[in-house]
Amino acid sequence: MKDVHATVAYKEFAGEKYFRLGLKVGWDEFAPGQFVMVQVPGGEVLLRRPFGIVKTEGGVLEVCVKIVGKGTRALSQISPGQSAQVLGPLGRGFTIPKDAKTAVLIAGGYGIAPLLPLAHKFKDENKKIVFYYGAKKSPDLLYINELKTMGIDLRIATEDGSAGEKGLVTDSLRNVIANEVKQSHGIATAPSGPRNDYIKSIFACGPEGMLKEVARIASEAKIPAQVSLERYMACGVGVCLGCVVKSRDGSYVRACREGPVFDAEDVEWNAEKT
Amino acid sequence: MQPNLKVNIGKLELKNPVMVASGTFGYGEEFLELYDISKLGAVVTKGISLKPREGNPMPRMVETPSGLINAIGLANVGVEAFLKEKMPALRKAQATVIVNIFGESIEEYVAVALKLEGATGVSALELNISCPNVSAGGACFGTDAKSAEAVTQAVRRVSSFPLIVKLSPQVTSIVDIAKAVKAAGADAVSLINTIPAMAIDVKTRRPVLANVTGGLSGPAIKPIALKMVYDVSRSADIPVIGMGGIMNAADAIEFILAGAFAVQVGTANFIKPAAALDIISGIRSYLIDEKVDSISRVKLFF
Repeated sequence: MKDVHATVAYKEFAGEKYFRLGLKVGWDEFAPGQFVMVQVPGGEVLLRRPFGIVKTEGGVLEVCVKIVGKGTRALSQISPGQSAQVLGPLGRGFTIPKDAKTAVLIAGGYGIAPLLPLAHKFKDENKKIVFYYGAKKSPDLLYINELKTMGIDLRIATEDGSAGEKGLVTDSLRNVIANEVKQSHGIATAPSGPRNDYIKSIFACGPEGMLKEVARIASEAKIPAQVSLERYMACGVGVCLGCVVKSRDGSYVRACREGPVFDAEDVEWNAEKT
Repeated sequence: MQPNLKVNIGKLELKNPVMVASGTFGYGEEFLELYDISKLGAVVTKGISLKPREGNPMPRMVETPSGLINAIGLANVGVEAFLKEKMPALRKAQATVIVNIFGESIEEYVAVALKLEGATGVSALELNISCPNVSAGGACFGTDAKSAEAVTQAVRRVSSFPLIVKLSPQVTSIVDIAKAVKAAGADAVSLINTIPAMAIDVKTRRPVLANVTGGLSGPAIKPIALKMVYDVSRSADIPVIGMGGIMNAADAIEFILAGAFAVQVGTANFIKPAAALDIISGIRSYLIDEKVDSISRVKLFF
């Protein structure tokens, strides 16, 4: 990890609530699932803010920011040419299993951020991708054009029906998994859909409620799942202990260090969160 | 002219007056990846207790204007795991290590001090006598002079290390507490610890922190801390280590002018990992610019 005085290469709004920020950090290597801590210039807020790394290219890193409070609002005022301190890459990213031929990814809202580079990585390894992407409504779906041109099996769901299927994206996942499990047990054959060699692992990022549901689906179907959790952070490097997640064995682990990616079965989903 | 940054109290010799504060640096491992921690005046470890502690439920932290409230709850690996698993890396890094310790009773403070007695690589102990940010079992030794004196005396009897007592600001007279721990044999005092504080979420109509209250740190507390350092330095006749919202070299020098012989950098480590290093070189530049050959000569004009 490095702490870099990065210049803003670009800032593009996607609707009123979201913007993509390109930061010239001078490094390219990262594991999908890792994040950076960005200092908000202007002194409006004290602490840095964590953002998942969406992509890097030519030393320019992209993050996607949702305006949710003082820090993100102040950050949205930044202009190309200005600078911000960027610390990263941080955290534990996704572990990519060697044997799966197809990957199942499931994103909720801006949880798409770490799953986009993961999808690209799977594509580079010639794996088939089934991508479930859900949000409250259509404006909350991000990077849709990029996803549509990737040549993947993209299944969209919105709670209000403004795009894709109406309903929760976890319902779509549950139905397909149920079919696949039946197939592999020889009980019934689904008319179409991915073969069951893919269900080696599920990769998920999104609201905590969604992840809890993914964990339940995966556990019932006995499929390993990796989830990327979001927590308020102060230091981002593992020293303040302000971002902890309760694990099944009762101990606290750091979302910034032992995470943000965790095995779904290691997380104590019934603990209070931030 | 290469200014002299060395400072010392008794047996404790520091290469420069800048330490990192307990609870803001872990046990040093994470920052090892960022810079050479042996360059620091000292690393003050996370507070160590007799038994391991998980700490409080989340949320444990909340940002406030120019500050941060924390209620981590003294989460730590416990003294035995600290010695076995954490000290080796600190020794290898050749850091100057000050171990911060606390207990729920005088017996516990003594037990931790005994386990640390003679440990290689440890240069001093810092006693945390502030009220813990925990809802249950919060024994509090720092809010009255008698208890502060008693716990300091008990540890003094069993420990051969230089002894620093970290003072809480939540008192009527911090000078009285400082005098009491001096009488009990403390070699120095460090102040201030965090200030009791809270935040409330207007949407949920609940306190933000699971623990309800926590300790405030950061730039917001600097003026309060500075005044307390000034008061203790003038009246208590015991060396003072100053802390509270130090973000840059100028802040550190304010504390030194107020009478502190050394400072601790805490919350700043979260904002800029290299903060403590930058402060050391900033102090060096100040001495060169002001044509003062030694940090010990930096005193208030009156």
